[in-house]
Amino acid sequence: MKELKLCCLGVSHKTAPVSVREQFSFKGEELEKALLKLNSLPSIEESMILSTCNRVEIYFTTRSETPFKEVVDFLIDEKGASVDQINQHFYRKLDKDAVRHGFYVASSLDSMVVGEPQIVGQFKDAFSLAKELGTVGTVLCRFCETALKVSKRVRTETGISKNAVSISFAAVELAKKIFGDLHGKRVAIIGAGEMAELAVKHLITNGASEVFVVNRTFERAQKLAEEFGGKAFPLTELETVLKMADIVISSTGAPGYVLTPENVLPALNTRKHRPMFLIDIAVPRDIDPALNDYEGLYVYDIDDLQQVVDANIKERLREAEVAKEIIEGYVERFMKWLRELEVAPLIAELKEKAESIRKEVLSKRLPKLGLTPEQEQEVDNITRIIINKLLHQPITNVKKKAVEEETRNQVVQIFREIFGLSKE
Amino acid sequence: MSPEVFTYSTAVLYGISTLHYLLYLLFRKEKLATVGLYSARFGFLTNLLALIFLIVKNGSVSLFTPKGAFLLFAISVVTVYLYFSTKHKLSLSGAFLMPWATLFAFISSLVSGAPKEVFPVGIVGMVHIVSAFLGYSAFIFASLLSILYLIFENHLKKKKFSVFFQKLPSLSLMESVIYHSVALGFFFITLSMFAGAVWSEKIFGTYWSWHPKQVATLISWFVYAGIIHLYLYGEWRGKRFCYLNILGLFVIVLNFFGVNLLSSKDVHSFKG
Repeated sequence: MKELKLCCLGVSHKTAPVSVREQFSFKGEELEKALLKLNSLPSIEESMILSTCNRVEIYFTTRSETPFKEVVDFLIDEKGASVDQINQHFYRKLDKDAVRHGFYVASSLDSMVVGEPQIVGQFKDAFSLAKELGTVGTVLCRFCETALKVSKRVRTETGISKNAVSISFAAVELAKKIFGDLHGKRVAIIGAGEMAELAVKHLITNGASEVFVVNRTFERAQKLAEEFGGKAFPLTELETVLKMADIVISSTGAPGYVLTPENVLPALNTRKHRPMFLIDIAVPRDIDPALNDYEGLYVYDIDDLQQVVDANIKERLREAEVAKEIIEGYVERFMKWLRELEVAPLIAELKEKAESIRKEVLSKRLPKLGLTPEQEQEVDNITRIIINKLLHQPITNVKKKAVEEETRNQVVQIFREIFGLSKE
Repeated sequence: MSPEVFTYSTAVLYGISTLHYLLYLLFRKEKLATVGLYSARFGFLTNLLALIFLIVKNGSVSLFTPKGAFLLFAISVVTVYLYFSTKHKLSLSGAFLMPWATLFAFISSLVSGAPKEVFPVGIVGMVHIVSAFLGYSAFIFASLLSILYLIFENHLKKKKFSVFFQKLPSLSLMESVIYHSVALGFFFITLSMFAGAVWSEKIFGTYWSWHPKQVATLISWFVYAGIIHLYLYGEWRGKRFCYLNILGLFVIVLNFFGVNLLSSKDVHSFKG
């Protein structure tokens, strides 16, 4: 019997364009059928398919000498792909590499935007489907459970998903840098636009209490105000609104500046040194950049926000390095467990053999001694202890050696021969 | 046990803490800040033990020796830091505050802790010196945070995504911590002055003698009373409040280093 291998055959946004990924993706019922079919292949012991819009990965265990062959054939069969296509776009990972890759994926280190948490849910779904269909057993179950545990630890112990990586979230993050708590803060939105509206929504979920909507067309303002549970104002009342708002988001289609020192400074003066945060999401810009030079005014335009996002992505990549250190420990432990699992039947056989010898000898010799039941019990215990102590060292050692890559097969072979165990 | 062992370990632990906080400033890894925090906490314990053993060995009068005074200064700086940084996420300030604690602990390991003359200390004397150092430390912390606030504000304006930008919590939170620290310092310095007057009456028979230290402390007291007043009623908020605190730091430095360490005779000289 050949040794067990854990493999991963996959394609992701890093190796293939979306046109290729969509060709290989499995959805809904198709996924169930494919998984059952995959698992019925003769050499496959356990299997699981992770199919998202950014990746399609097949995790499986096999004892075949050419581990990937059958799965590649399966893909060609199922998806009508060519061998070249698969060779070009798919990566093949074996044992330690496969385990590490799986842990990276579950911890969102391999995601398009590092640290985004969707993949955790997708990984969980893939695992629970495989469990439901019974295509995963001891090895892949443990693999998935460890991957999810690792992922949780990485999320809580590193800053990998901490900072905002979208423009609208970056606006919220900046507002928090200035005001700390956003509870009770008042937001004004001038104009409309998807990004601006999204930013307002995030501000509200983060505690902002009141929303003022200003628009050139009053009806549009009213509609938006209703959506946010705020108040609508015509553009002529801009100055009144500015006097009330802590955070202003501007996103109009106006050709010139909408917010200038003329209308912002009077508002600032009534605020008694409380700062004001002005966000300009419009192109061409709505807010006069000269306003940034005034004490207590913070003006961020779309490029500035993009820079915040870029800096945060860099920060996440830095944290990803910390995460990799954490993950490496789990990879080592998992591989150790897997190798020890391989010698488990061997050890069980040895223990069984020892026990049968012990029983046989005792049943023959014990009656001749004429001992009391207590004494017989004691002899039984003593022989048990002797066997346990005698076998302890060989078992520990073979477990230890089973983990080492080079000597593994030899050691197992010799172990079998020395103790006279069955050949497979 | 000799206080020396604990004095040395305190200097080493604070040194380790400082080093990790400085590395944190460079590499921004949270793990470094955690090591910094725990070394500071352990250092706090050895610092406390060093003080206790010093008092057991030489009596409470040894707080007025150079060793005692610097051990006390180190521990009060760290106390103020641990109090505020554990409550709010201000690990970054460790990089600016722990070097001071390290310096004080290092000096205390070099100088003598044997009192040259013995005078009655009592509870009043202890309250006087402990609250004085806590007061100074709170003012130092407030002014260092003020410097951080100014850098942070500047980077927010200039859109410079530095470590200050990323690791400091928020302008409003920092301002409130600075204010609380100043208020705390003011409370302790006031307490210290009252205790000092009572104690002076016990030893010298007079509450107030227009001694240089008393005058300097009175000036500091008025300066900080002014700062708090301007903040609360004159609306000197944000950056202006920070400038005031940095000014306050100069007054404190003159007060402590100028009067205490340069004056030659009397209880405030810490000459041992």
